[in-house]
Amino acid sequence: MKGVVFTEFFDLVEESFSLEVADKIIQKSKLENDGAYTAVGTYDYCEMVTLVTHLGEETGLPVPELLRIFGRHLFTRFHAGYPVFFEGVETAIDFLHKIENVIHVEVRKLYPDAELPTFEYEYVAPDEMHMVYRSARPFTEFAHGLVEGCVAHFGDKYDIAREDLEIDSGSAARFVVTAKA
Amino acid sequence: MSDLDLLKRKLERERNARKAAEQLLEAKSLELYQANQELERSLTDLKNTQVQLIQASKMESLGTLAGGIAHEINTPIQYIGDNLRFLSDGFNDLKGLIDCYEAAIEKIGEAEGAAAELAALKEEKESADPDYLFDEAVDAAKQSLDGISQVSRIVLAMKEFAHPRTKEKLPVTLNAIVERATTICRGEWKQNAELEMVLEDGLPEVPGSEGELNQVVLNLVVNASHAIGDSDQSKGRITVTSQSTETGVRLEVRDNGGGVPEAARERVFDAFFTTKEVGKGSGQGLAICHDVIVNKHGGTIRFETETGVGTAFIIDLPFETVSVSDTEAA
Repeated sequence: MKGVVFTEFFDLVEESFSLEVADKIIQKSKLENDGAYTAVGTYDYCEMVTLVTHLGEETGLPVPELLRIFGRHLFTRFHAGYPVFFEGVETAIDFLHKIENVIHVEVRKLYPDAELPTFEYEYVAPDEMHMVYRSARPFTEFAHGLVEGCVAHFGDKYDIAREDLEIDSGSAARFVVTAKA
Repeated sequence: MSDLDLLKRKLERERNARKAAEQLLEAKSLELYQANQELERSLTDLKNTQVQLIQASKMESLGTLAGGIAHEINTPIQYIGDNLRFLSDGFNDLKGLIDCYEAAIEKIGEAEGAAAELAALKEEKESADPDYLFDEAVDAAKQSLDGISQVSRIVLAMKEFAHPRTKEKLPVTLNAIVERATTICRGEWKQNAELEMVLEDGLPEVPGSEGELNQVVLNLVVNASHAIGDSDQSKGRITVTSQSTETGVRLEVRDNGGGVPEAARERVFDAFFTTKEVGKGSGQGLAICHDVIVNKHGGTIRFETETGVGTAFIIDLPFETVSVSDTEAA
């Protein structure tokens, strides 16, 4: 997992909770690098699982909710850091469609060994898109938060429903994105 | 734990993260340097390959034309041979006649039996028909000289085509290039089409590389011939026109073949793109034309085509050449 996800995570923890909470979860997690993450590095995703689990313990908030919050936060950071991907995009559905077909393509150019989740799209009606997410990691909630962040960014004009899919390993879910009546 | 301690620990993490980032940067810089070296090597290989391909394409053009050229040379050589054989036999006869004259004159000088000798001489003269011989000998010699001139023109054109005097851009006369290139590839077009040349008298010179422009005209005329050959056209016609414009000179090679297929129009100037069957074209011809005209002469090349009517390739060469490759190098 790219280091930027970790650095953004700690920014969120420090801003939303405190520096003390951030320090505590680092200590409890007994990390190999003692929490010294750099945005350009690559780290084991299990460290993120451990950190979020300990954040849940510290704050009393459910881990799924924390991951959704983090997903929404990361989307705002993504918009600030990579405005080029938003040029000419007018709707949340258009942007979500770009994730697999444009953004992941660009990510692979920079990081050929990146292990990215995949998205498949199906347009069942002019104002309804189904998006199937598959990942080798247990981050469906995090993906859900990103989708929510995307919809919010484009004016909150869509409802999001999620159906978790059973697969042999990793995680998968179908997101149903429908225009609000 | 006090805020100060927390900040100290955070600072320590940030410092360690920075060191990790610096190590990563160093490793990535090394990778980038190595990749750049590899890229430079690939670029050099690519340039070498491009040169080889252009040379191979030129050789392919020459190879394709070799059969036609052999035929072109063979025809005048054949009648030169016939004429020379005729002259040889004729002059042998003439020599015999002259021998008789000399013998007769010698005997006439002795007076007795002169009448009989003179009659024999007359008979010999009628048999040899020297008037006919002399008339035909002049024609045969003239025809042979024309044939020799034709062979010389073909050989010279071949020589200049294969080894242009210089690759530098010097003032060139486009009409001379057209005449030379169409002579070289006569064997290609004459089976499929009549060639009409509408060349402006006194066409101004433009700066150009003679060898490269030879190749361009040859490619366009051979392509026109192939286009006619591939069509249902029974009366093929290729029209090569040159004219001056306000900014330079224009060359147009027009054929009445089947036209460029619609699906191919976007790609006609792409390297390795060809609509010809396997083995008949490398797909380099028009790509080379485009490179020579646009990149090396600062000119333009475009085409007009209509299905079933034909195609015209139109080249504009400026009086002042600004080579794109030169500009890029600067």
